Amino acid sequence: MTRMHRDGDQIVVEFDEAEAGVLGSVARQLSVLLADAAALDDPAVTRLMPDAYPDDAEASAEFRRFTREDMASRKAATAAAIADAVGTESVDSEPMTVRLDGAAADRWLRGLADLRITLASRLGIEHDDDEAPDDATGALYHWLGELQWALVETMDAEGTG
Amino acid sequence: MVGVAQLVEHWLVVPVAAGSSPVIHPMETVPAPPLIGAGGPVSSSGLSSDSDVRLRTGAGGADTDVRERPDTIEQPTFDTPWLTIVWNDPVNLMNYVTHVFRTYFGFTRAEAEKLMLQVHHEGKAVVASGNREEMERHVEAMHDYGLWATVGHDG
Repeated sequence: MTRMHRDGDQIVVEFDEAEAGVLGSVARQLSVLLADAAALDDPAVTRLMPDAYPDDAEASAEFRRFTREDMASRKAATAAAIADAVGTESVDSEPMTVRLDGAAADRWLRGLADLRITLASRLGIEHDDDEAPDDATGALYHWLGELQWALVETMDAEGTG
Repeated sequence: MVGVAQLVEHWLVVPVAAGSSPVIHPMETVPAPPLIGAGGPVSSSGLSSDSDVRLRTGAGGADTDVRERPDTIEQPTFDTPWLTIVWNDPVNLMNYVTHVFRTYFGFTRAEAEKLMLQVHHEGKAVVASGNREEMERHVEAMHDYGLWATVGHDG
């Protein structure tokens, strides 16, 4: 189980064995997916970057034209930064500690949101009543949620901006 | 919470998604794209061709500029403000949405929680209003955070 606490301006994340590698692996996969221009048609990517004008296809297309490529690059870089920070994509990863400054913690929050949205798309989670399946991917989805929830709570605890 | 060791064990043996291959051998690295990489149809008709004509980020084209120009007496923008609307989604956590509202828009915790609950219970909330370009920047920022946001128009 991942533990998290604040140490001055930093957030200390302590991963159990395998956890860092699982996170590193899925984060790397997302960065690769988003770096692929062809993937912009992927339904998960569409969900990460939804229409800005739901009732105006023309305005949505224009917004997309001006924003989407850069946004995909930013999201890819964010996911890659998480993978780089844990430094492993192996299920044999040892227990390890990662320290995040404020900017890194903010990146992790965004990256974890993107990972969960991507998995939700793959799992068909479309509405509040939809539940993740009782399998490994569902467990991964829940674990990433636990991780993000704890990170928000730790960041929002006294002393954060 | 499911232990990750258990998670990985399942992950290695359970065929993960329609269209992707079951993983047979635990490899050095975590097996091939369980879901994230199981992409949809790949098309060459993506946005790449548009990139050549892209002029700037986060701003509209010429007609947008006309619409948002505030010095037109007949159509003062404050009469018909554009809106940033955040919609409910089944993925984002309540404390995360509150955190984003606080840190990005500068709402107090109480304000941010009220808006978050409005999103959750009513399906959406208006979190900002102003000129169109500003709202597009907000929507882009919300998408950066993974929130489902759209530009709306009041009236």
